[in-house]
Amino acid sequence: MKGLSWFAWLAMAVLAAFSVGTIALHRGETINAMWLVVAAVSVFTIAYRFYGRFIAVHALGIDPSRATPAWRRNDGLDYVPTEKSVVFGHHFAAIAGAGPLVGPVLAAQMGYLPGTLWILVGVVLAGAVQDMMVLFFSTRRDGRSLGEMIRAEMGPAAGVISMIGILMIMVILLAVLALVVVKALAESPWGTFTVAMTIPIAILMGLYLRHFRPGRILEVSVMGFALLLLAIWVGGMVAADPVWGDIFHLKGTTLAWLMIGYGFVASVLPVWFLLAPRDYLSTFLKIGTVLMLALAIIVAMPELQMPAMTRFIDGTGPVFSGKLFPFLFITIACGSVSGFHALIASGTTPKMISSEAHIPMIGYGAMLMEAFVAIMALIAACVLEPGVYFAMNAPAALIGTTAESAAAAISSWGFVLTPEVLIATAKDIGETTILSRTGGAPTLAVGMAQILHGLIPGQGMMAFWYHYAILFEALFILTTIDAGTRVARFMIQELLGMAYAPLARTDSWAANITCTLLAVSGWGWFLYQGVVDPLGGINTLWPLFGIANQMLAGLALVFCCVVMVKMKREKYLWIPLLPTAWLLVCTLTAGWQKLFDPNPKIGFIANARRFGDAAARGEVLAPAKSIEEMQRVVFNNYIDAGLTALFVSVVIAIVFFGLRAAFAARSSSAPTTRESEHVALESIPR
Amino acid sequence: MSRLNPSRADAGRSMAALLGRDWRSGFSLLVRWWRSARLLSARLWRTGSQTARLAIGIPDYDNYADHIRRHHPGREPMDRDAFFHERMQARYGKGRSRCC
Repeated sequence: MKGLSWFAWLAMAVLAAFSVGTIALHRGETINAMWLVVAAVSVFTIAYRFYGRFIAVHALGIDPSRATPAWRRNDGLDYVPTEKSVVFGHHFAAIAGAGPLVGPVLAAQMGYLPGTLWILVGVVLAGAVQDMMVLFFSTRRDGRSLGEMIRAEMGPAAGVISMIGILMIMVILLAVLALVVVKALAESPWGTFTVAMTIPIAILMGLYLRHFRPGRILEVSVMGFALLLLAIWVGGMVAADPVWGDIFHLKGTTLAWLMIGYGFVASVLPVWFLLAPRDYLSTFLKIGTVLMLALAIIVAMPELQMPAMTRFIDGTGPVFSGKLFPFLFITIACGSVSGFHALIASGTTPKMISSEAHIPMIGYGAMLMEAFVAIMALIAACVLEPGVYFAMNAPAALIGTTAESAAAAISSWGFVLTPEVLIATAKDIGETTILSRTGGAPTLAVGMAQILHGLIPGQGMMAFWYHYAILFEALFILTTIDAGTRVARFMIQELLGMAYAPLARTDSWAANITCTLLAVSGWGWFLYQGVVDPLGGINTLWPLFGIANQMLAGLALVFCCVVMVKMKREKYLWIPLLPTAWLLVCTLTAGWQKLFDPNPKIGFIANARRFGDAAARGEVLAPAKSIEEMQRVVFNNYIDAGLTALFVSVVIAIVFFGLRAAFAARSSSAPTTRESEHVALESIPR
Repeated sequence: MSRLNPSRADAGRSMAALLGRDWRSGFSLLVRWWRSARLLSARLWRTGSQTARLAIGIPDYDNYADHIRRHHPGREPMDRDAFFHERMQARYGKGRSRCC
């Protein structure tokens, strides 16, 4: 990149402006996906070279002569000075999850334009800035975690509050991800079989690595991958078989209970048995699939069928309710800006960076790559016929349960659709129906299957690719559930341990089981509620998750602002302040609307009242079937409202502590930040 | 790194020499080019596998053992298997908060 002359950069800028302009102003029937790819690549390249470098060099003042924690505390294990490209790969693999694949798919209900613009602008000004700043601050503090840094710079109360916030996000994240899997597997014997098979495959890999050939990751991964492909192939036969097909044909509620049981058992098993081998598989599969998707899009150059903007920007959309502002900005969280990355950027990565000069590439660059993944997910959702997209993502309460009723409802929204198309699509992908397969994963899978099928055609290949994509998402999510339950358990132990010390003992089986149970029942409760939710669950839970994730980002960015003030670099405060302000506005507005909006489709309290009042009159409102169910809807809505209120108050509390710390720092004439001491890189023996 | 790059000029020159009379020096150029190409691909493979292993939480073992021998002469480094299990436990023991 050093070699590019000013002329080349100018040409790049013209290309970026032209492609973004084309996307924004194009009003034809369809637009080629390449425009999105070109716009993203050119915008990201320019942003990295100019904004990213500017922040690193001027605002943060990276100092390549300063020894990083990897040098000062080198132990060959956690702290290891590592080559830039290797750390980049490690960091990207750690931040890349299922989120950037789901959010943009849901946001596609407003058309491709709003989502694309938010991903492009959001990542450049907010997401990548947050990741890089947190990475830098953690590198300057011996690789401390976000929680520890908040405690040190903003006080112990802020530390505890952020910890509660992080725990709540964990719970809601696990519930939403589990719901995505349940929605994808319900009534789908093929999908259920292949995903169930990942458990014995991972155990086999674990045993192989433990007892047969320790450390041979390449061969065990290749073996696992081959078995996965075999499972997909066998799954097709299982689904076609009347007896076996029946066994794996499960209802949503059954799957939810299985999931809860799985979460509990898997998270108390030793890690080598199931968690680690499965994480190997899902990490490699994710990277491989993302590369394959990128290649497929570039080679196939599909046309986007979705309009630039649909009429659902007014807030009446079937996928999630609420207007473009603020709900688009919390629906696409990962991909534009994700609070979770702040946890990763203050985790293992800062302990491996060998020079501060690598921070822009790893902090800013890896996040740009993640945004590119989000753009690809958006493309995959938008290559579908809009009618098919809405049939898959609208809840049964709106479109009914037959192809005829769905086609009629969706046509009435202005998207031409015949029942035959729905039936044919379902048949192509080897399923009985595609109606109301909410949660993003199935839509992404059909989109991916369509793109890949364009490249490698063949009888039955559509069905194979669809189930491959479902498997890939589910594999990933199951690993997250297992690992996330453990994280939540340790957090609960730490928090409850403050009140009752024996619970903090991580070696005690009683404390272990109790806190795991608490963690599982936390997310399990929301999962079950989501599965029985008449609006399909995602409609209710995704906004909650989005608010939580953006709240965490807001928290991390407030911390960045505070540190900038403490470093006496107020001149550059606008860099973190701009995204902080935007995120606070979005989360607080969304939180407020979720609580108090008079429209029962948006406001939790309004919805609870609507059902409560009807129940008091003795009426039963659809889709509830009895007064008990009515009461349950009321209760659930109050719980959701309570959780939203909790998120909002965490944000407000952190802003308060941030302001307090910042004003205290301003009254001091010297920098008050708590960095580890400066050691020259040259003085370290190599 | 650049030293290892098989240069196009080398390849071109060796082709030209092979086609012409001076096949001996052309051949040796070709051998040199082939060697450096092999070195480069070995290096790429090494970086790639290091990245892949680190992506699942396992740093370079040789580097670790080297570090212990040089900086902690009294200590014996763990063997490969113990190192592998220690790293696995360190990565997953407390769960992993991966991004959404």
